[in-house]
Amino acid sequence: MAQNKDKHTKEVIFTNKEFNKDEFKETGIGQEGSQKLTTLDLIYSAILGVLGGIISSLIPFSLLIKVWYPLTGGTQLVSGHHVMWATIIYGITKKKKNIMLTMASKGILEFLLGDPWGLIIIFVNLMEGICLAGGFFCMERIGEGETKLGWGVAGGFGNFFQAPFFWIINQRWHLHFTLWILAFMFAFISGILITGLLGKAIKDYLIKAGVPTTF
Amino acid sequence: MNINGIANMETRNFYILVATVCVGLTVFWLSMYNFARLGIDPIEHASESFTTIFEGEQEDDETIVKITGNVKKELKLSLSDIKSSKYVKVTDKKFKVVTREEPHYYIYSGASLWSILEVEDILESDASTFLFIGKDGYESPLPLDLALAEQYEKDVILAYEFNGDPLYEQGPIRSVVDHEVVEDIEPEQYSSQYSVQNLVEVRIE
Repeated sequence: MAQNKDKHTKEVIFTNKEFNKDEFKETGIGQEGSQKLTTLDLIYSAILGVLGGIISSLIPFSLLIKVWYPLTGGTQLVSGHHVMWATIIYGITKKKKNIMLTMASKGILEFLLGDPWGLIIIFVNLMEGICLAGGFFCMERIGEGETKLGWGVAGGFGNFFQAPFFWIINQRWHLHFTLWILAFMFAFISGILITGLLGKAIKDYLIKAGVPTTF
Repeated sequence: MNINGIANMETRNFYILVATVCVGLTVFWLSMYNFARLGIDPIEHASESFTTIFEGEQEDDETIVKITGNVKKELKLSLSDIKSSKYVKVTDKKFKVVTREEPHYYIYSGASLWSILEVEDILESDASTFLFIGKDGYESPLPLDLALAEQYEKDVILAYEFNGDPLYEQGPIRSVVDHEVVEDIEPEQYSSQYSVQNLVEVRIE
């Protein structure tokens, strides 16, 4: 009887948080609504931030695109991987401040690995984190917080900021305006596909594999 | 989920589909427009890439850079042409390349552009400027005065080596212009904008 009551209580908690109980394992590391960062949050943030920093700095995924798509700005099609780490951390911790922490760790590591943008890269990472958190906030407000559409659009917002920022700083005024439009569209599409949808898929697999969540 | 819920989901999915098709078509036609505008054949480009991936880099005697425009006759240069001894060689020279007012120093080897124009004697009498164009359609922002190429003969080059190695993804040929050449031009110019990767054309006007 007591066990049944306990089970019922857990189901209510999950229902209240609008999570599908079939998809998420209860790990016992939840905080029952607290937004304070736990040690596990910090560990996740550090691991994903370092992974993202190393991969963003050292692996030129853009070469994949340059080979097949010759127009300037085409490399934006793979730019979403820079922000994907933040969607994964949000998926397993459900804390927006963790997004900022991960992006800060990632940005600092990119800076230390000699990114040609110097300190600006930390600012860019933080702005991407803010845009992503804003995207998730908006999607949750309209009831799309756990759907692929919601994650895709939030990822698109998260990845969008860097494209106009870098193109304006690089003063690419001489390029035709259609190339600007294409580059920005590619940034948003990459955000949807890589940051949002791939990030969500990885998050789902991590949770199904038993990685403890902290929400 | 009740019938209304299912209907709502179908409407939602329909809108997602419509948005996806609209975005896809926009990207497709904008890309086609730019391919046509820049004279890029996407199928040929993909075919070249496919060949490069499976059969290695192209041969040295294939045409890489064309010198076009206000010239007596169009000149086609292969990598072996540019490396040949008939042009003035610049070997392991340190170039100052300024990006966003931040100077970088790189070591390039290549052939002087002016020496190529002079040796081949292709310039029309009223030719006055040159412009670099990359494989992706990028053009250096302003045509530069040919007098600069003559005055700074070893500072305006068609480079084929970076730090003693081939250019790989930057090449096989790129233009490199030392910042000294462009720093006095108004409005202020960065030499990085004239150092064009994957150079395919030098247009004389």
